[in-house]
Order: sequence, then structure tokens, then C-alpha cells
Amino acid sequence: MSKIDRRTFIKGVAGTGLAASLLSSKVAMGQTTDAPLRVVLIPLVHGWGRDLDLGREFTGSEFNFTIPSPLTGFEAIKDQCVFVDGVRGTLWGNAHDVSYSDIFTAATCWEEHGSDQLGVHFPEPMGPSLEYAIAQYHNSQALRVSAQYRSWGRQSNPICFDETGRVIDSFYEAHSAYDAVIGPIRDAAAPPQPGREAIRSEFFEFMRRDTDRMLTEVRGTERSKLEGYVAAFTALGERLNSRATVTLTEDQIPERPENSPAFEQMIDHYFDLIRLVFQADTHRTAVLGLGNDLDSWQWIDAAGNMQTGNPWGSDFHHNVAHHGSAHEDPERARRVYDGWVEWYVQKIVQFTNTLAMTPDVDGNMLIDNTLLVLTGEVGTGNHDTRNKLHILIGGGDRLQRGRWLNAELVDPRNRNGVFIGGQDRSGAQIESGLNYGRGLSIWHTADLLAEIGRLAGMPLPNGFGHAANNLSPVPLTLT
Amino acid sequence: MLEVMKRSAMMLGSTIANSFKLGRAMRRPVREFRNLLVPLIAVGCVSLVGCKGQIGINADDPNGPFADNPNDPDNPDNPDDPDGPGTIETPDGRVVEPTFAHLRRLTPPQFENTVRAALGEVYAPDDLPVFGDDIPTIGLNNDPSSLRINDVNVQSLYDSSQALAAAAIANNPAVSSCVAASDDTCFTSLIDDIGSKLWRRPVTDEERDDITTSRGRVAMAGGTRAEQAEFVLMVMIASPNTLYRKELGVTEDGVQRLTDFELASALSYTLWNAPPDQELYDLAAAGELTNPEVLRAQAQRMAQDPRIADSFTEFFVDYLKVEALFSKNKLDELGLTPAARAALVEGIRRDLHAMFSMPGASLLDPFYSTSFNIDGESATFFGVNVAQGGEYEVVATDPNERLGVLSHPAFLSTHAGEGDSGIVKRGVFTLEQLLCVHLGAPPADISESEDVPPGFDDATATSREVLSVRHSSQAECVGCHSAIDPAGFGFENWDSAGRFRLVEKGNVQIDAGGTLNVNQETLSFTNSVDYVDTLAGSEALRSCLTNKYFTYVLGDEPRQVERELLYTAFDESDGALDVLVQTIVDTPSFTARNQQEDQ
Repeated sequence: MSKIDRRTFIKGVAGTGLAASLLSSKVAMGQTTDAPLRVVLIPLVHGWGRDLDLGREFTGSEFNFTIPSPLTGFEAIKDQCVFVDGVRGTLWGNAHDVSYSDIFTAATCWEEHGSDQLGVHFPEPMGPSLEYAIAQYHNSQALRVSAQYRSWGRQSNPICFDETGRVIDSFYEAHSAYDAVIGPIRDAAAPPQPGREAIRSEFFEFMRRDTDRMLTEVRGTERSKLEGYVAAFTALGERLNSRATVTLTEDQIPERPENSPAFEQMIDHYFDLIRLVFQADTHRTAVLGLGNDLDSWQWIDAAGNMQTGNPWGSDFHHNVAHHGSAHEDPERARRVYDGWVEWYVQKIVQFTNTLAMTPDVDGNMLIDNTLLVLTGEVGTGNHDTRNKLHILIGGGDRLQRGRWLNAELVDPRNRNGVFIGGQDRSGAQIESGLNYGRGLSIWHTADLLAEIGRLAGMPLPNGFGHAANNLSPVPLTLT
Repeated sequence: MLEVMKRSAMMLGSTIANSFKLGRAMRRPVREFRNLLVPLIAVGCVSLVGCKGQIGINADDPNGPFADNPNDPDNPDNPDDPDGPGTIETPDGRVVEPTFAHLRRLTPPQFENTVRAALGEVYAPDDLPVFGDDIPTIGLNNDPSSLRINDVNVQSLYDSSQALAAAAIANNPAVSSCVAASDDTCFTSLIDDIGSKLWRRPVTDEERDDITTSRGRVAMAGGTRAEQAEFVLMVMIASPNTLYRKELGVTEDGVQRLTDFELASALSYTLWNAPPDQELYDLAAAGELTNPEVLRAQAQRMAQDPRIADSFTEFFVDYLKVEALFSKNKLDELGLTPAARAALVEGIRRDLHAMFSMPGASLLDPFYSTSFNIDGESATFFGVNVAQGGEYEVVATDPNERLGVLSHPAFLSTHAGEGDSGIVKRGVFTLEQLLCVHLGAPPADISESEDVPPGFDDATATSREVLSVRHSSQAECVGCHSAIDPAGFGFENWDSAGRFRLVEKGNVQIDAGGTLNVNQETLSFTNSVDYVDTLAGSEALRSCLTNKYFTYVLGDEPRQVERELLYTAFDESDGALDVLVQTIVDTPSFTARNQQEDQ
């Protein structure tokens, strides 16, 4: 893992104990009129749908380019976007499963297909995910929500991890996420209640001591369960014991979402919550996983008629997303899939516009201090992870926008010095022997994550994630 | 209302009892396969030869491949391994390396039963936390590694501790009288009385002092007596001592011997899904549970208690994964509304509970019943008529259409596709979960075959034929699908919602017959009822079932010697619950564990 400043990483259970009391590690929020760069990581199941096999490519030059279908909706906010076209993921095995734990960590080990913690299918990375690293570095919080972004019986795919590789789960119900963030925001304007505040403060202090006592009796692998327990209570204590210093009016605070809203409403709720916590300045990062439970998107059939939803009725993954040449009707599947991606593009555009109309603590708009990072566990519905498209939106003048960064590709057999592979748990680098069949991006996801981390204020002199993923000969520069 | 329930229970008892008599008579003799028993148990988890790449002894298995391979030097059953874990000897002189010790978070029913035992019936259902645990597609929900307190459920746990404390202040006489009193000593009594019930052991002096001092600070900050009581209860309810079963033992002769209180906890949560009752707690306090005879006697006592049915019902619901139905995507036209799903799952729960409540109940009983609890919401999926309304009726179904829990619509729809019968899903579940055949991950890129015979028409072919032609026949697929597909074909007489059918796609005749080879057994069947009967009679399912139950109880797979002990007892008793319980309590791993060190 890269050497980042870890002064705020909470490792303090057992041997070291929590270095400071839960209260003394209060979140510093809104204490300056300088707004930080906030980062929202948005993985869409199957990625953002650009598919080289079907000839849908960006054309033009870095600052004068054309956006291909099904992403043309981004034309409306083109000057806010950087299209990183593309970066390669860590490549082996079933692309979906191994990618979940790698897309924001770049720290999964080569050829690990599962882990004790997460079971079969889900390897455990050796380092933290980017949103965690940024939030910890700045002693702030991260909001993680999932709109049915899940598989294999999990409530949400494991994409967020702490520095020990322990998974940090995402809220998968909008009302639960709301309950988790709304307390300090509402309390900001409420009169003090000494008895209640004393209960809260003593409660979390006691839980830490209680867990420490138990930890003295627990050895080996079982300790991680208590460490996860105390980490969860620590984060909750920080949330509940903090008071937002940005006072919002009632009309700026959304109503509590109802239980089990429709999928589209759930996504709206999540966008609203992310807007809320950034506006209240209680969170520094967010992760929003987007799944495929949408059923009402529109698409245009070959005759030019508007259609709605999945014409096969079920199994979006195989019937729609896998729209390659082996499909029984690939042209139709591609059209359906394009419509599906376009629906999400419109949602992102709407969210961007919302952020562009919402004032931030520094007098600018939220979009000027917020960077949306669109990605996926695979690059396309056809599982291509060789050069995954990433779309960065917002961030103000911290990066050059309105831009298309077209990655140089290397021949998979003659790599011209570009290391393609990974590393194992001991740190040994393993050159990939796979024939990927087509050009590979010179940039790894790690290069992009490191650049985003630097924009968010982290030094990251050695990159992000595994060392073997930080060997790109040509730096990716966003500024 | 009470009368209706009693009548319903009586009907249920007699009808299902008759159904069992029929079912048990139908059971295939197991002992004729005795010569196959030893090699089957030795392998434990069956491997298939010919499924290229991932199938077989599974490197991806989080339980580790060693458990499948007795000759592996890393196999913990291999006593020659000098670096291996500690061992203990069975009464018949065999050496066993016990399973690993686990810190186990309580399941939701266990948490509720624990709170009820400590606070009484003082709370509303909404006061309990929502743990939101994952329901793995394959495996057991109570896997110690997957039950966690995390960023998502910690808020609910915190809120719940607050709500439960408030409920106790309002409705628990001891708590409310303490709040009304002016003397602080009653807080100490609350800590000792309620704490020992929540934590399944006495509260230590240090813990009591800590809670008392913290409560004092709440008082100093202006907290009322009610708020002080709330604090005391909240910290005890949300404590890791409540949430986790700490069955880690103390080191003795190289293994971790469970303490008396840990044994009491292990026994009571295993048999009742609840904390120890007073008798068990008192024996633990007296240090008598480490006496094997006392432990055994307690197991026998508890196995006679009606609560044994609760825990076996929970096991079966978990084993069959039927609660995954609540989150499955299903086509609207199937009619699997939330109410219908709830009715189906509640129905199967009632079936299981009734069966496991009967004297002499067997773990095999659920596979042979032809009567089911059905209400107005679920009747359509069984193809029967019942009175509309909220009451369940025990309905005898056509034995040519239904046999046992594997023919229940809740099970069948859980493991089917959104709108199709899900041959592959059902097949994989059958192999992995019911027969303990481990399959690896599917290959990275799966595409449809381009080698489809001219004139092949999906609309007039069975789903079975479509699968075979378009997918399974491909070179990279045939290895695994030669096993997966027959395991799914056998369910083809039931559609995606579990409705019985003889045709699909209008009038395409279904073929649900086939042959499934599992290790040394060949399972041949002619239709779906025959298939589930054949499965239930197979040694593969029975040995797998005992392994699953052991794993459910101990959070780890049994070692080879324990598999043999368990299966022999299961076989000789025809799956009798009390014998199974006694055998598990007698296994070395129940009273001693091994420490799993960090890598």
C-alpha cells in the first residue's frame, strides 16, 4: 500500500487502544470558509457502456472532441467533464467479482478469488479504498450508499475498505442512510439537552472501554470482529457527538424517505442525501453504487419507436448487458442497453445541475468543490476491463475540464516496458501471462485514484494501492 | 381466536403425523449403501471430475481445501503434522483436532430471545434492531464471519438499545421502581440481575464499577433518574458481551477448553436459540457443566423442551435459504407479491415447526411431508383451494405433485429465475448446498453457442433443450454443466413460482427425468416428485445435511472423525433430532476448540 499520512487512521483497539477518546476525535466541520474538494465515487454496474467492439469511440482532440452514444447526454455539462479514456483494471478471472474490491483500492492481490472475510468471489484488498483514505486523511466522514449494487446474496457489493482491508458496508436503504446523517444536521439548530448529551457521550466512551476489556481475552483472527465493532461505534459516536456548524433551513433538509421506495426514487433520495451532507459540510466523500433494478427506462427500437424496459422481461445481466455478437439479437440488446445507460447519464446530469445551483460554504457552488467520479467494476456490459472509461465531473479549477484524455495503448504481447500484472500478498510482482487480445491502457486504475487523491489534498508520493499498480511510465495528469 | 389456533394446531399435528407415516414408509433404506459410507464421509465434500478449471476440491472455499483432503499435510485431521493445531482424544481412542473457536454475533432471533429473557415482554417488535445481514446464495446465514456489527447496522443497534431501555423503564417493574426510588443501590441490582442475563455470565466488579461511575457522570451532567437507568440498560444491551457469543475457551493441553458459562451459552443457543435458563446458568455458576455427564444430562433435558423446534426450524430456513425470497426479483405476472412471499415463508416455517415439535422428530421429516400450511395468499402456488382470510390450513396435496420441503413453492421460487424455472440456479443450489459438491466460479466470459442446429426454435423447445443447445454443449461449459443441469432438470415440473406443471410455453411437454451422478451414487429419476424423493434418500444429501447442521451449530465444518461419528449416529437413528443433538454435544469440538491465529 502507498505511504499516505495515517495519523487519523483508527487502529486503536486492543494493544494500542483508541489513541484518543472518541470525543476528542470530533470531526472538524465547517470551521473555515475554505471549502474542501469533496469526492463522490459512482460505480455503475457494468460500467458506463462505451464499447469499442461496436465502434462507439470518442473522436477529435483533447479539447475538441465528440462524445459517443450512449453518453451524448453529457454534452449538456461537457465543460464540467474530463473523460479519462481509459484506465485498465486489475485483470483476471470473473471480471465483475474480482473488480469490486479493486476498483477503489487498486490493492487486490493477483489471482485471489475469495477471502475469509468476504467469502468466495470477493478477494480482500490490502489497502483502503479512496473515499476512506481521503476522509481519514482529513479527519472527516464518508457517506456510502448502494442502490441495489449487489450480487451473490450480499446487500451491497464490497467496494469500500479500511486500511486493514476490512469491508465498510454501504447503506442499502435510503431511510437508513437518512437516519445516519440527519442527527447532527437537525441538532445544529436545536437547544442543548444536557442529560441526553451526557448519555450519548458516556455511552460511546463506555463502549470503547467495554470492548477493550473483551479484547484482552480474544486472540487471533477473532479480534477483527471486535475491531470492526468498535470501529463502527467509533464512527457512530463521531457522527452523533458532532454538531454541524452550517445551519440549514427546513426547506434545505429533505424529508425522511419512505421504506422501500421505487428504484428511481431511491436514487433520487441518495443524490439528495449526498447534496445535503456536502451542503451541511458534514462529510468529505461519498460512494453511490448503482445497480440494475431499474425497470422503466426508454429506448428506441430499430424502427425508431420508443420502447420501455427490458423486452426479455428478466435477467438484465445476460439478456441486456451482454449485448455482444453472441447474443441472439445483439442489435436490439445494444439499443436496450444504450437506453439504460442514457437514463443514468440523465440522472448524473441532473445531479450535476443541482450541485451547480447549491451554494457552498465558501460562496461558490457545490459543483465547484465536488468531483464526481463515474466508473464501474467492468468497463462495459461485455466485461471489458482493458481500458475502462472514467468520467470526472466538477471539481472547479482544481483540474482542467472539458477534456478528453485518450490513453495510449500497449500491445498485450509487446508491452514496451509497461508492467501488466499485479502483486501477491508478499509484495512480489507477478507479470500477467494472459493474452488480452487487444491493446491495454498504459494507465492503471491506481494512477487515476492517486491523481484524484492528490486533488483532494493527499500527498501520495508513491501513488495509490499496490506498488505494482503504480508503475506507469507516463503520468496521468488531470491539472 | 385461541380456540381456532388450538384447533388448527391439532389438525396440523394429526394431518402432518399421518403424512409423516406415509413419508417415512417411503424412505429408502440407507443401510444398504453402508459399504459406500466410509469413502463418502472421508471425502466429506464431494468433488466432480471432469468439470474443468474450478470444480472439485475448491481453492476458493473459505473453509479451506484441507478439510476435503485427508491426505493433505495441512489437514488438521492429520495428527502427524507437528505444527498443526491441538488435538484431543475421543472416548474410542481416535485423535481429533477440534474446529476453530469463533466469536459469534447473535442471530436476530437469538438477540430477541436474549433481550426477552433479560427484560421480559416489555418491548414492541419495532424496538428490535435491524441487522440487515447478508443472505449468501450458498452457505449459512449464521456463518461467524458474516454476522457483523458494521457502519450500516450500528445505528439501528444504538437506536434499538435506546428503545428497549425506554420500554423497560416503562414496563419492567424492577426498572421502573428503581427509577421511582431515591436510593442508587437499586442501579447496582439492575446491573447484576439484567447484566448477567444479557451477558450469560456474572458481571465482574470492574464492569459494575465502570457502569456505576459512568452513570454517576450522567447524573452529574443533569441526567434524570430515568436517563440514568436508560444509560445503564443501553450500555448493557449494546455491549459486545451481549452481542457476541464468546465461546473461545481457555488454553488447556494445547486446545481451548470452553468454560462453564461458555458451555452453557453454546448449549442453549444451539438447542433453543436462547440464552441459558436458570438451571443451566446455576450449573455453570457451580462449575459443573465441564463434567461431561452433567453436560450430557442437560442436553437430554433441553432436547425434550418444545423450544428445540424453534432452533431446528431456524436451521432449516437458513439451510434452504427461503428467506432470500423476500429480495428476489420476480416478474409481476407470477403473482409473488410481498404478501404472497410472506405467506409462503410463514407457511414453510409452520410446517417445519410442526414437524420438529413431534415426538421422535427426525431431521429427514421435512423431506417427506405431503401436507402443507397454506393460506389464502399462498394457495394459488400449491394449486389448491382454501378459505380466504388470514388463517392457515393444513392441506394434503396430491402426492404426485408435491413431496416435502423441496417441493414447497417458497423453496422453488427462491431458487428459480425472475420468470423462468432457473435450471442452472436450482442445479447449482442442489449441488452446493444440498449435496455439498463445491463448484468454482464461472468462467470470465460466457457467451451463447453459435453452433445451434438449423431450425432450432426456442419457442417450441423445452427450457431444458434450450439450455443444452445454446449453452451447456459448449466445450468450456460442458464439464460443469454435465453435473449442474441434471440437478436442475429434476425440478422442471415446478415453474418459477413453484406451481406444478406438465407443460411449458403453452404446450411443450416437460421432461423432468434424468440421472445425476454424485460420487459413487447414481441418482435416477423420472419426474420432479421422484427426484426430490431420490435426493432425500441419497447418502450424499444426508451426509451433507449432517455436515451443514454441525456447521450451523459450531460455525465450522466438522473434522473427518466427527463427520463419521455424526453420520453414523444419524444413519442408525434415521435422523432423530435428540440423537443428533446428543452426538454433536459429544463431539470433541463442542467442548474444545482450536485457536485460529492471524496469518
